Amino acid sequence: MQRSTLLLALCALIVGAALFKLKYKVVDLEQQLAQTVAMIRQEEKNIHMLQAEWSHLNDPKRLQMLAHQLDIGPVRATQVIAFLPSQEKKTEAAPQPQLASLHEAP
Amino acid sequence: MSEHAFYVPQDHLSFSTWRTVHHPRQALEMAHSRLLVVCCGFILIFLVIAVRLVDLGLFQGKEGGEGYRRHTTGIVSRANIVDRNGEVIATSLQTSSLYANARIVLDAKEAATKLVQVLPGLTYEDILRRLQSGKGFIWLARHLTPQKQAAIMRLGIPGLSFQQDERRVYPHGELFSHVLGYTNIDNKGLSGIEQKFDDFLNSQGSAFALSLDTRVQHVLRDELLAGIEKFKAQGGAGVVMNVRTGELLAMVSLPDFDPNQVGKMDPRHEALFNRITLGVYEMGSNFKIFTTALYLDKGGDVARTFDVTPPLRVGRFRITDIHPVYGAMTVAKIFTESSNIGMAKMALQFGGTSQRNFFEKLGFFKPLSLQIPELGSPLYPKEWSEATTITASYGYGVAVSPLHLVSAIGGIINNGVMVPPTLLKVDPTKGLKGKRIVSEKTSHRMRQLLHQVVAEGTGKKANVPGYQVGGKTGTANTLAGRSYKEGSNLTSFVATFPISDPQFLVLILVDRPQGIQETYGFNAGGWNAAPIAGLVIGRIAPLLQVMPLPNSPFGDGIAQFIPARIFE
Repeated sequence: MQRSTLLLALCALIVGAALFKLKYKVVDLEQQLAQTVAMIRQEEKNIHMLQAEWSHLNDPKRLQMLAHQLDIGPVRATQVIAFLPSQEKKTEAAPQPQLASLHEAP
Repeated sequence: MSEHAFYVPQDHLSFSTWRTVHHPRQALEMAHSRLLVVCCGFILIFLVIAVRLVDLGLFQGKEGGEGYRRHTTGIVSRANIVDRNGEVIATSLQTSSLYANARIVLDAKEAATKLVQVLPGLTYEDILRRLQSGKGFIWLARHLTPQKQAAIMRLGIPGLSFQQDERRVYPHGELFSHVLGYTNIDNKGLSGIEQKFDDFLNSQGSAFALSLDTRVQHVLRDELLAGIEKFKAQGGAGVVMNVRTGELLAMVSLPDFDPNQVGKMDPRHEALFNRITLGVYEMGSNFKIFTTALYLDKGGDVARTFDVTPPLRVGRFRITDIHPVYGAMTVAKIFTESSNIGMAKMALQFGGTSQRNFFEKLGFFKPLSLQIPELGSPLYPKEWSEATTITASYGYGVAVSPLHLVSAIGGIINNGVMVPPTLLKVDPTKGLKGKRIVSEKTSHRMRQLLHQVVAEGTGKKANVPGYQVGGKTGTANTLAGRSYKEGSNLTSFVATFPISDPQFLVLILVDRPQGIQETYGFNAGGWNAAPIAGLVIGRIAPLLQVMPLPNSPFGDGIAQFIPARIFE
């Protein structure tokens, strides 16, 4: 047999073995991917479920009941700092420039 | 050397023949060139394969990756609906549904006995009949909980299988019933947003954002429920709208229903009726806003006086006021005192044609275009007689839905630009489509008058210190055929705040309220709808980030036109 033929046969053997190994690696990776995708799906399902539950727990009717137990109510205008009499001087000049001009209109 | 015979194919049309080649050298050359041609051919073919391989491996490979990703999304097929802040208000959850292949079920009686123990909602006879039907696919139970599913699996009955199913869930129960609507067991939208956007929700992956605000919606419903109980009313309804963008922040119609449980309800049940968009009513005194606005827009003066001595006779009509005044009254006072005679005289001044055109401009002659299918058609006379002009001036003879009213009043207070109401979230940076209905000057005057009603007139109970409320009371009548339905009137109050630069409009309707001790037996809108509106505004204003202001919004400019009594 010629030397070149021997060399070629060797090459073919090496390439074949490498391809075989690569194929197994790909199959393995694909399996991993499928597993990860399945896990992601499961997590997404859980997140979706938790979102619905979060929304249910945030039902304003329920929150109002809880707030009532803690003796908390809606904010009144008098509780806003800008509305306090001590601040009146500061805010007096500020409000509604548009109204003043409209009011002057004949 | 002897002569060699070579096969030399001739032109493919002619017969092949053996040709004689005279010299071996010539023959070798011929073989060489033929080999070269064949080699070239093979090289070409392998080259094509190689190029295709590289193409698949490096460039087309992405398709496969996307395929995987497509798998990961879309756990459920119908998109979520969220409010303006991203709060989930309708979602789909994965469930399991039980079905049977009746041909495989071995012992139908035994299977039915076992199933009834796990699923008490079903009857033995019903299951037995279905299992003996011999069909290849029969639903036994839809939307089972994981526990039930596990229990059925443990029974080990052959022929029963589960299919992944999904079910529409509304985490807030009744809160959004009329807006969202509901779906049937196969997740097909049957009313509200669910029906209007049925295909869209099924094709869309991401959440679908509405203009509603869960908190505002809750406050409105909460206060309406409390008000209905307090005034022993039959029902109620309310809207909160952003007048600048047309976004509806809340829309409630009571009685309402739980869309999670709607399957058990009669489709003609009163609770399924959306009073805000489907009901049409003669809105009563609220229409005086339009009469006054048109009068002012036509160049009328708030200081001008009209004789309001009762009664006013027009043809066979005789118009009176609840609190008759003998003598003259300014336009401003006619509005704040809500005089029918005064309104009629103002309307006669600008005439029926102007009034009719104005109503048309406000959209009172056609159904609204809103993103739900339940929209009522307005009722109005074809012939616009003088009597029509007079009755329409104080809100009778023309029936519109409460949302028509909200949209038109919103336009009058929003510097005269009417923005159509919408249930979808609006991006304010994009151009808003509005329509000018009155001038800015008229809008300003109307806001002053509306504030006066709350500061000194019939709407005093809607006042919320700090939030500059303006509003108008009314009583709406329900039309049943050609006559008024006895005892089914809705008292109403439409309020806007902050009146110096209005952002929000609140409409409260109360169905058949009764006079109670606290209201001294009165049952008009000022006594029930107005205080509810005040309570709603007090609670939603901080949520909507309206800054309370300590001083009066208009100085005392308008006061000069409303003399004596109410200013003492």
